[in-house]
Amino acid sequence: MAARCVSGLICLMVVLTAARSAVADVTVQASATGVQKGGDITFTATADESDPVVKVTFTYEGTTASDEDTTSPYQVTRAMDWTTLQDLAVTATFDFQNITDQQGTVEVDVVDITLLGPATPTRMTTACWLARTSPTGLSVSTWSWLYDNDLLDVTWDDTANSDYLSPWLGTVVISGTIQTSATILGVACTKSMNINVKPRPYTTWTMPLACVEDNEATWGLPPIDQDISFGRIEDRESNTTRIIVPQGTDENWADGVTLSQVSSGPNAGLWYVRFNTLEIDMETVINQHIKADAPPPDVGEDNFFDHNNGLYGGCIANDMADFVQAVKNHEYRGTPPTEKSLEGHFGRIEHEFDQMGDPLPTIEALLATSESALLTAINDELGNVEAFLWMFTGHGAWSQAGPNWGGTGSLGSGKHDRYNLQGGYTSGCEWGPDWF
Amino acid sequence: MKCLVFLSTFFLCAAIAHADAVADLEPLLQQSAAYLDGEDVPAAQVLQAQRELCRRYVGLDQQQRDAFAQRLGSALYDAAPGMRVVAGRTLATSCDQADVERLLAAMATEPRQNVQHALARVLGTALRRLPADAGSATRATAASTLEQLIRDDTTAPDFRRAMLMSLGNAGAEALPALYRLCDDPRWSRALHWSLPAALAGTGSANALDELILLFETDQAVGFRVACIQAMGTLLARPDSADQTSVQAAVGLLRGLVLSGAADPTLKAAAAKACAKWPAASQDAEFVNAVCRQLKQSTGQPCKNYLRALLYLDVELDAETTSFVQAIAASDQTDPGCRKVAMALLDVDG
Repeated sequence: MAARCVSGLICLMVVLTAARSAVADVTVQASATGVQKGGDITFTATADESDPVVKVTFTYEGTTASDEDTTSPYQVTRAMDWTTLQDLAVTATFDFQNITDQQGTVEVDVVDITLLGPATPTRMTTACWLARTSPTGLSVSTWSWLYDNDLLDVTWDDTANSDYLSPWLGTVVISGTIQTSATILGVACTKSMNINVKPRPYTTWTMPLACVEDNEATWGLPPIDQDISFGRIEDRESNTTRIIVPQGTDENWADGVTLSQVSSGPNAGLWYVRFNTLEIDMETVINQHIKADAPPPDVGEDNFFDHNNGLYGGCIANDMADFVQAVKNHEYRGTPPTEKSLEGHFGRIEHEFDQMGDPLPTIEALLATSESALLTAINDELGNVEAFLWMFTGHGAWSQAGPNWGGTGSLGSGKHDRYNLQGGYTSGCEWGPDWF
Repeated sequence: MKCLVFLSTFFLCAAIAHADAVADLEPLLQQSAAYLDGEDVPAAQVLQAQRELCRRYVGLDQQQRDAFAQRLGSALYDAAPGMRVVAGRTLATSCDQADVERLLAAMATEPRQNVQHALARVLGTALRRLPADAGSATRATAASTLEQLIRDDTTAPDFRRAMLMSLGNAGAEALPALYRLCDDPRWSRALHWSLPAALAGTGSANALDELILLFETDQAVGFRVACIQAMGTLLARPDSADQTSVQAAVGLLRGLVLSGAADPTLKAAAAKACAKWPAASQDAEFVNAVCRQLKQSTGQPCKNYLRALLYLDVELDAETTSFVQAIAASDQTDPGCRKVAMALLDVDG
């Protein structure tokens, strides 16, 4: 500095200026008294000092981050995203050209809601979401909750817990977004969480498939004309072509599901399937009159088995045991009996069920705003599945291929050129067994 | 002039939107039918298409629905069998009298037995969904036509059986035809095992008397189980108005459960059926008998006693609870039975 003093006057002025004490009055103003964590606040700093400003540096309590501004108005906008703190200090430091640095401070509240709870709860579990103030311990008069979903939005204002926390709990059944709002230190705060409800992973949501073979010893009429069936697959108890049971009347599965309504909490009002007892429980029935020990149609006559089994003149000479077994296999899983075989009715049901997929995971996730709507949705879903299952497995043209399924080569591996039940309604051996 | 242009634009847009909503269903219809007609499409995808087709069809406004019903009606006579069946099933999702008549005509004239059979099932769905206040005459007509087809000597046995079930779905209007079939030795013999479910399908408590008669005609356990199950279906209805019939059926079922001599399979089926009667849970003797016999049963009877307790919805005593817990926990329990035990215990797992 002494080298720059080319004249005594100038030198004196410089020395005087450099020696000036810090007297500037620095003011810092915030655009709001508080903000939710993550929100922006604009800070403006002023100083009643004529000395040129080199820069103004804004620093914040709780972080090493800072902002600078070199032009008036000295202003920064900062996202308050590093902490929550009541009376968080924000300091503006003026770097003057000729005088010492001067500082001013403003305090703002940075608050937030902490939302705790499961993001991926399993359906039908009781879940609890907890909201509390951050910093903890601040007073809230009303916590406003919302569970936003595709079916039934639920809201709840918690004034009873006019405190720093609020719990919202209940049975959870539907995915959505849970949101809570509260005013904390005058700052309106909102917090939300996406909830992805997971399906129940239990074995009860798998459809049991069962079929008892040759289950009714007294079923069937004497094979005297084409109206008489050799065998059949049917629902075990109702003797109908229903597949998924219990089915009280056609396409009504009310007996197989327990429906419940969520009574309180974020999913209050929604109906869901609490339990199911749905299953496929079938039986094959084989005409009693085609079996070896069946009674004859009249006293003194051969029965159907012996009539066709005779070595001389029998249409299925010495092979009726295989024939009866082939009828059984046609109703069940083909020859040899093989799971999901396309050569037996039950095998086809297993096969198509496998192809379409178990409907119970879909049923598990069904929800509605009324009991009747939920039952309708269940019945529609199972009705479609059953109709498709049946169309593939029940009868006819879709089913003509295979050694156990009619057409040339039907009924029994290795016996293909002899039995044809589809056309076997005439007497004479060319179409298979002889009717009485 | 501006107003005229606006109105023209409005109606044009509305017409386009109307046509779009209907046209959007066509690919779903084609996709659903393609699988049934043998094309290589994943089954699960087709099921989704059928589900979506029905959902959208129900959501159409009346004008759009009528337009697509015409399309479905013509598809009932399509060359491909899958298309016929899918069209029928979609029509039945939301049907009126005209749709039932379409289905009836298509089924009666269908040359292929398997398609006939499938359409008979669809017709049953349509009859059941026909609005109660508007469908009485249609149901009566359908019942009459079905009875004629059932009695037709040229009808194939399986198709006859399918039509019998559809006939049941015509409700109380089907009862005269069903009574005639029950009384005719030829048909009561040929359709014997299918009659109980058809009678239950009517949903009319008046059918209970006929079921009691049928029950007495045949000692075969499988047949009697079907009769008992059909009685249970009718007893579950809150509108079981004919108290004499109801009391007779309840008396029969209750007697079987409390009898020491009855067949175990019948006893258990009777317990399940009787438990559906709304007043059964107040019958302490019956409830106690169900609990007692559950503990002595295995297999199918055991499952039916469990179902009975589920329908009764009564609080189980400690001993019964313990027994049901053991069933649920056992590796030897078949999956269907285990599911009922779990539901009864009100637990999932």
